[in-house]
Amino acid sequence: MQQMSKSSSYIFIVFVLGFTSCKKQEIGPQCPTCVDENITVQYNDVLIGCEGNFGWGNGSISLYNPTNTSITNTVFQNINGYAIGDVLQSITEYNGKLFVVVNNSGNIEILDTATYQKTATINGLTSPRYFCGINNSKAYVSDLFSNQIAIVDLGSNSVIGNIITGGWTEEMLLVNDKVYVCRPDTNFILQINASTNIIEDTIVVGKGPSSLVLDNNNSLWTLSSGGINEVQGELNQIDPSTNNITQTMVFGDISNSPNNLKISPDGETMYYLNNGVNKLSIYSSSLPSSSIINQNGAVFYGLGISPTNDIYVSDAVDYVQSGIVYRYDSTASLVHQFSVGIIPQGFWFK
Amino acid sequence: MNALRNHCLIFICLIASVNCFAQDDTLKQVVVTTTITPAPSYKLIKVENIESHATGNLADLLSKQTPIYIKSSGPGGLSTISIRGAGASHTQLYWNGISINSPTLGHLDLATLPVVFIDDSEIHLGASSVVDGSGGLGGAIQLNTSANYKNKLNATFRKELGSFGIDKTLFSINVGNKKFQSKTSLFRSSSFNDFKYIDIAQENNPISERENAEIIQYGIKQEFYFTPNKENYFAVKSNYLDSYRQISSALGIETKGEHQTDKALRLMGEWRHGKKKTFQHLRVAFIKDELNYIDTSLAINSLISVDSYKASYNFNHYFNYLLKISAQVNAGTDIANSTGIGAQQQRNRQSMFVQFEQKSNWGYQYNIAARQEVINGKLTPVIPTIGVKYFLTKNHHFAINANAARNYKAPSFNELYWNPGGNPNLLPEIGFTAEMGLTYKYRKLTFGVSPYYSLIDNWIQWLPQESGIWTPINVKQVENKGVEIDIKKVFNISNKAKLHLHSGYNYVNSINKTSILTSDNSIGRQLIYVPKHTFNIVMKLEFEKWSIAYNQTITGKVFIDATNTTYMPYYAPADFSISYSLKKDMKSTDIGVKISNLYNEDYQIMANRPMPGRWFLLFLKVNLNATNE
Repeated sequence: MQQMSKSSSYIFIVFVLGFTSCKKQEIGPQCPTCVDENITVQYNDVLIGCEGNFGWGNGSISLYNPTNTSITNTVFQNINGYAIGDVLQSITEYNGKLFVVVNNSGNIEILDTATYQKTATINGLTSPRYFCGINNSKAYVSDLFSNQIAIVDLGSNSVIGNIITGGWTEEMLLVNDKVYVCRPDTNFILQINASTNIIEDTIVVGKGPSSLVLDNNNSLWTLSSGGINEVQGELNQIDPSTNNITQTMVFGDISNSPNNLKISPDGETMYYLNNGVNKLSIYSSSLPSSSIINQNGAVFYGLGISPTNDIYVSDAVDYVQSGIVYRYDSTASLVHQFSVGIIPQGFWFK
Repeated sequence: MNALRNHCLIFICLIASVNCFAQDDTLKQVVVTTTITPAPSYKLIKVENIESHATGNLADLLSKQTPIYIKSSGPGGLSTISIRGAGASHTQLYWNGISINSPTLGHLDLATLPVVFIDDSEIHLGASSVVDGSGGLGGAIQLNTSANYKNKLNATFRKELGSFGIDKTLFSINVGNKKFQSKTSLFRSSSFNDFKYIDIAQENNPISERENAEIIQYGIKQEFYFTPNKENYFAVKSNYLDSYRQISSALGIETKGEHQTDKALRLMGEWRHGKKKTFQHLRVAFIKDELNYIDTSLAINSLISVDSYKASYNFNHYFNYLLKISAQVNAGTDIANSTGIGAQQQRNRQSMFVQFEQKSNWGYQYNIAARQEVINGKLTPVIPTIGVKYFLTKNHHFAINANAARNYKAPSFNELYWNPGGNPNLLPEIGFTAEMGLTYKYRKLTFGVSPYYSLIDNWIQWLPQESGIWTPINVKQVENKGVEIDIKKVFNISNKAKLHLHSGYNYVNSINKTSILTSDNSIGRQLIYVPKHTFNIVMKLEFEKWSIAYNQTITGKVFIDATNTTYMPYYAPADFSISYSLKKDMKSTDIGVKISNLYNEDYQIMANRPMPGRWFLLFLKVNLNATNE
């Protein structure tokens, strides 16, 4: 009996000691293949903003170089030592800095374009979407839930005021001291005076505008999705000198949800997603009848046009796996495809 | 010799399956337990040490006492279960045989089920869940309550105070006689959960304090049992939970003061009747579930309210002690009102189940069963199951068993009707599962090993469509292969000291086999949040008035993306407790201390959701007990 008692106690002790000796260093999400100590910044880098899953804190930035086709994932974390946050919404360059809007973290990380090192953070935002620089000291940040646009002081990197918008605001564009703002849950574009921060005009466009571009004739173009099977989507041309609609092109199918309007570096050609990548000239008076890149069963999620007119398009696949980026040349033939972070969404070309 | 064997078989039947009736000699009264439970060929796990977890929730209990993976966002936070690689809604929970999974969400948050509401629990893995109902593609968990007719008066007061504001009070009183028993429990449990953690989402990883994680729960349980004679048993059972929870954000997200209230009322009337060889069991139940999630900063006020009416009639007939037929008829209605699904939705379900069990005089037994369900007037696929058990040795120490089943899970209300995005054309998820088992039972040693295989087709996943709207779609086919090992032994060290040892290990290889998506790189890879390896051990040393317990769990790394590039590291928290019991006549007092996360491990179960480091709990239990003997 005594023997038994001893052996049992030994088992107990061995177990206890066995586990005390297990010490590890890893805490939280780990990605061994993402780690890269020597990130080299090159003149023609492409940064890919990956949203990550809502509430998981796994937003990330992937770095792609089109010359040597190298890919580095979680670049921000590799350089700055922590993950960028929850739902990376957009990357905007302004005054030699990158403003990375992290939607559900409610902040904007400011990066140096030369090193991708964080230089500052703008906190105190509700559900920020896009950044629009006005001048050296002022910027606007659109928002999904706060019903207002935040006015940010770029000196102190803090929110110094708000412009009441009454709802969701999305992409913004500065044209001659006027800021045009998409209101995706309505059918209008707001026009704000960038000096006084006052909404001066409301321009009626198609239902659900979310993206807008400026062409090389100083015309503004805005793309509206048409809501969820509510009405047909529209592409509207606006004259910023009068705020009048100068042209409207209507999508044929109510089930279409055109989105992601982009423009070529020369401002002559527009691209957007609608069951594939579509392309039209700013002089065209009708929508293209077919896509230049078919999505072949996938659902394209993000679109970007590089300074060399390459077309970058992303596929989030099942939204919980590494997303895929397809790079096409200007003739729409595939150059390269590669895996990036979770839910790749936006592109920034250096 | 034959007679002895028969005797043996009856005995085995009695201990192996609760569906045999147990005769209590001291009371000379048959306590009719006629619930249909899985035949002996199926794999069950009896959850142990329920009483010592009485102030906790079901997630705490299962994560410590079994090697089953519980995905938890933090102490008291949303906790779901994954059995054999299947999803949270693929485990069906039953309270005294009545399904309590949320019809809107499909699963039940285990943190909203206080352990004090249950007396015993059994996990029915894989094929065995078909006996309980449909939808348990991974398995089913039975949560049962019962009365002890020997009891005259049993009153317990329990108080626990611990780190980060843990304050729990439990009062129970059970009174009755040989025919009537009343059981009452009242509890309050609260905690600030403002523990310290390493904030990996901040520059230089500072130590931060968890915010917006407070929990306050109130609960009451009242049950009446009445057994007027040998043949009849009546019971009325009820419990009510009122829970307030703050929802702490993932790291890197500023808290917005999100919080959630859960209110759940469960009521049941029960009648059991047993005469000669025929046993009947009727249950009618009403369940009201209310979940309210509030995020004022984002103007979210989401309310789900579900009323469920259910009835179940079971019939068991023994032709002789070797041959038994069971049948079950269920009918139920779920009525859901939810801000997420817009209009009120109602679902009517009826099902019928028949099981045939036969045992041989010597060493084998088999069973065949099938369930047919009708949902809103539509026939669903028949789900059959078959099982066989064979004793390898004459002494019945070694047994081998095998079984297989088909199963399906109907989509939840949210999947069908969520506005926008609900998909009324969703197909049910279809499961097939087969398993084998080898068990050894002799004296105080039990050992079991069971490999299994299962396939889940039409696996539902939410994906955004061209319009940007997220919609649930039948996307994948998932294959789960694994093995479960279980060992249990009691060492009688001396007549004053006893060591209980119970350990389990699970291996599951859960992969995505096919997908409807183009360029899906998750094929052939492990599903996210399914650990390949899980292990637990519970050691309890009882020595005179002292009781020392050590609990260790090890959960292997889980991938958090379907391409398996990012993962959460393994974690292995241990708990240690020591208590002293003082007994005097009818009164006993226990005092003790529990150290959780003994080695102060910094870990997260879900990405960016920190768990507390080492923490302490002091407990006091005073019990007054008198029996009718």
